[in-house]
Parts: sequence; structure tokens; C-alpha cells
Amino acid sequence: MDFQPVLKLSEIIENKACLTVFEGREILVGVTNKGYFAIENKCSHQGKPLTGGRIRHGHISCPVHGVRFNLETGAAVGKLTNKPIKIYRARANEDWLEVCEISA
Amino acid sequence: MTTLDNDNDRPQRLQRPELRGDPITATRYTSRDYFASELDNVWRRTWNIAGMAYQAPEEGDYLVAEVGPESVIVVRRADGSFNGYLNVCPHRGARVAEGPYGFADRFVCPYHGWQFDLDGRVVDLPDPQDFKRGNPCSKLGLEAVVVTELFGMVWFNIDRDCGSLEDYLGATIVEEISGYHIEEMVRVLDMTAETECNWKILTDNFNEAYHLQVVHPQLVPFIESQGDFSQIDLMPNGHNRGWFASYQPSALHEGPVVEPLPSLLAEWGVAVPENPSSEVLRQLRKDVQDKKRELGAERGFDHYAYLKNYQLTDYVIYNIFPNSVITVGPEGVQLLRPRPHATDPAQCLFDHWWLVPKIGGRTHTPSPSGGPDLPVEDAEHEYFAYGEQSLGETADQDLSIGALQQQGLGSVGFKQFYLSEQEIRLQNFHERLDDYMRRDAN
Repeated sequence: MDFQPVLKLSEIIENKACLTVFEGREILVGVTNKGYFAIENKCSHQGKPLTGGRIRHGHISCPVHGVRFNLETGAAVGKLTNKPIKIYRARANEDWLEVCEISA
Repeated sequence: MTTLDNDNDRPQRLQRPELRGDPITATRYTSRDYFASELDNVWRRTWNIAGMAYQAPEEGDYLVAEVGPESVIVVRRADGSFNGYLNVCPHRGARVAEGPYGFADRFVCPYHGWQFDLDGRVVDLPDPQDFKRGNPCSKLGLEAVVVTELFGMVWFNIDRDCGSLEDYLGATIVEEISGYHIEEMVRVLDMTAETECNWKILTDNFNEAYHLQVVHPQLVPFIESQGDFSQIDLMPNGHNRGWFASYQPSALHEGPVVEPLPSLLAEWGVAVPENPSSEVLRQLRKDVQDKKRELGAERGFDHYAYLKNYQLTDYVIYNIFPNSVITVGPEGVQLLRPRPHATDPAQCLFDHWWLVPKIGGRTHTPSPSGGPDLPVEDAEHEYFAYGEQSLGETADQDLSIGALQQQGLGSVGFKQFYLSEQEIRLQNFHERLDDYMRRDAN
């Protein structure tokens, strides 16, 4: 799999998740003090979008029930679910944030 | 002998209230009936800390606090104040919000999707027309609790008829702790440990320094726990304060000066002379206070400007009834807090926080847990069982007595406590507990 550009870096603000599309699926991308991230825009608890979820301590909180997901691993924190969300590799390349599937 | 009457040299002595001498027996530590009654009579009627206010900076940011079987949500509102609710859906009782923190434009119950605005009202739900008793919107809501922000912390009381937190704590505690400006600090350690004892075994432990020489021998070379350079004061409502001078050996210390005292002194350019007399040793603490005044600001210790002389060197412990133990020292503030278990009198949850001021240019701070220096940034919460991981050397030592005392209190061989004068804060605490249990407390 190859990296594909998905968003201009100039549109990214630290600890804010930006909605974009990769391979026809909605994803959230952004940057924290731990680096760039790209995750699927779907909570593994009840399937709602994570759009608008606030980012603290390298985790995004689902805006519906507050399930938190580690942006580096996709792992869920808390009692509501232990199912991770899908994550992608993310990197900066010149002016663009690029995303790539993680090969199995 | 040095006189210590100056207000700057130690906390002002407080008039000691009369104690009744109530017997303290094991029932309160072991009985399930007592535990259930305590939930109603104490935990649902007293003030507790939900978390640091800075953890919830924006509208909709919330913290979830658990005390016994109760879970409380405190949420930041648009005007900057906090609302608080019992974390219970009025539909069929599910928890609405998950802790320890998060944010919500609306709280949404994970079970049937009832939605609550930040004022706690039901504002939307599936099939609202399906309720014979009427549409829950505008009719039902989350049960409110009382919330106040003080010392940079969010406090709550489940009793909606409680008085103000400031009246509950009293002017001495409010003024003295406010002087440390905890609201400008950052919590660099945030741990919770499941512990095999009743919560009061740990508050009792923090209510006396008699155990220090036995359980914490490493403190004796540089912290006083006895004699002229310590002081305990009882306060109304079961609170108390203990003052323990540092930067000098305890009266219990024998032999030459040993670490960490020389290093602590050297950091401020104070050296230990050869064969010092006890008077000379007492003066070292005053020398450090002078040096901190002189050099503190240029070294980035801006918070020293707030502090009285004794606060520049000494430790003061404020035991706030029932369980909020706040220890303040010159370089930071600890919360040492046992919380009751949801159902079992023989277990509790022990919280250990370490808050430090932001000192110019410093990115790391020594860890009270004995590990590597901690980054000066808000710490992620760590949750584990006692023994799985260190809570810090001193806290580990304190918790090491938990299970063994809990077990002993379950024996027919134990009658009642036999307390020394230096354990009088326990007596004050337990008599207030007795008041609450008889519902005599205000």
C-alpha cells in the first residue's frame, strides 16, 4: 500500500481532529504531541461518528458516550467497550498529511 | 531555645475543643450494616473532591467521581461554573457518563439513548410518545448535587441542603490552603490503588505521625514529627491540621546528619558545620528560609512570594473530614485520599495526587513515587491494585499496614483503640464520625 495525501498540513491544528476521506471511507486526521494520527471516523461502541470528539492525552473521546480511543493504537479505554477502532499510518510529506493502510 | 510564637514561624495554635472520649471499636471498620449506614449518614452528606478544575477547561468537559456506590458527574458550563449530577439515568438507572473524564454537548444514556442537556434535563429520547405517564422531556432529569470550585479543585456534596463548602471547612483551612495557589499548579501524578482495608484505616494513619519513626524511618533525618517543631491542631467539623518542620533532623534522629538533609541544604547554599549542636541544626532551617526568600525568584520559584517563612521549609497536613487529606510542602501539594469501596467495608480505593507549581524553565520534577523525574504536565490517571506498582515509597509504607490492621480488627481479641496524645486527631475525627452516624452533625 502506498501513502496518499489527504489533507494540507496548513489545515491541521494540534489536538483537533479533521474529517477527510481515504479510499472512500471517512477518517479523522490530525496531530498531537505524540505525532500525526489517522483513525476511522466510527466509534466501536455504538457506531456513531467520532467527529467533534475532543482530544486529550493522546486520546479522542467519542462525543456520544465518552469512550476514549488511543490515537496511536486505536485501543479503547473504559468500561463501555474494549473493541479498538481502525487506525492508519500517517505522516507529513512536504505540505501534505499522507495516510496509508496498515498491512496485516 | 528558639521561640516560635511568631506567626511566620509556625501555624497559629488553635484552641482545642473538648473531646468526649468516645470508644473507638472495630465495628466501624468491619460491619456491613455500619458501612451501609455510613454511606447515608456520611458520604451522602459531606464534601468531596471530584477533580482538578483545569481538567475540564471548556463547556461540556466533565469529570466523573466515585464515592462508594455513588457516581457523580461535574460538568463545565458556558459561563465557566460547574453543574453536578448523580450519574444515574432516571429511566432505568444506567450510568449516563463514563469516567474519569470526557466531554459532552449532551449526555446520552448508553442504554436507550435518553439525552440530557448540560442542565441535566431530558431533551430528547427515542419514542417520546410511548410513555403513558407523559413525555419525559421537560419532566425528568438528572438529580442535581451541589458543586463548588475551591483551591483549583471541583468539590461536590450530594446533600442539596448542605451549607457552603467554605463554612464546612472553616476560615483557617480556606485561608491557609488558598495561600498555596493550587489553582496555578499542575497534577503530575494521579494514581488510584485498590486497597484491602476500610477507608478509615488510611485516614486514621494520616491523622497521626506517631507511626512515622517506625513505618517511615527514612523521614526522621529531615522531618520533625515530635517535640517543639511539630504541632497538631483540632478544628471544628472533624478537620485537623498537623505541622511538621523540615530541613532539620527530627528530635528522634540520633547520630550525625545524614542524607537527604545535606543535599536539601546544599541546594540553597547552606552547609552543615562540623559537629553541630542541636541549636545550630535548628538554625539551618531558618537559613534555608532566608536563602529561599533571597534566591527563590531568580531561580524561578515564583510561588515562594506567597508563602510564610515556615511554609518555605515545612510540611503541613490538612485532614478534611471525612477523607480529603491535603499535605502541603514548599515544592508541591499531595492529595492522599482513601475512598470507600462500592459494597465492601474491608476494601477501599486510595488516590494519590502530586501537584507542583510551574517553576520557570523546569520541564521535570522529582517524583514522590521514587521513580524517574516526572514531566511537568498533566498526568494520565493510573489505576491498579496495591502491590502491583509503587504509589511512592512513603505511600507504599502507609498502605502496607492496611490489610494487617483490617484483619486484626476482625478478631475478638481487639477491644478498642488505646490512643496516645499525639494521636488525638483520630479521636477528634471519630467523634465527628459518631456525630454524623447519630445524625447530630449540622
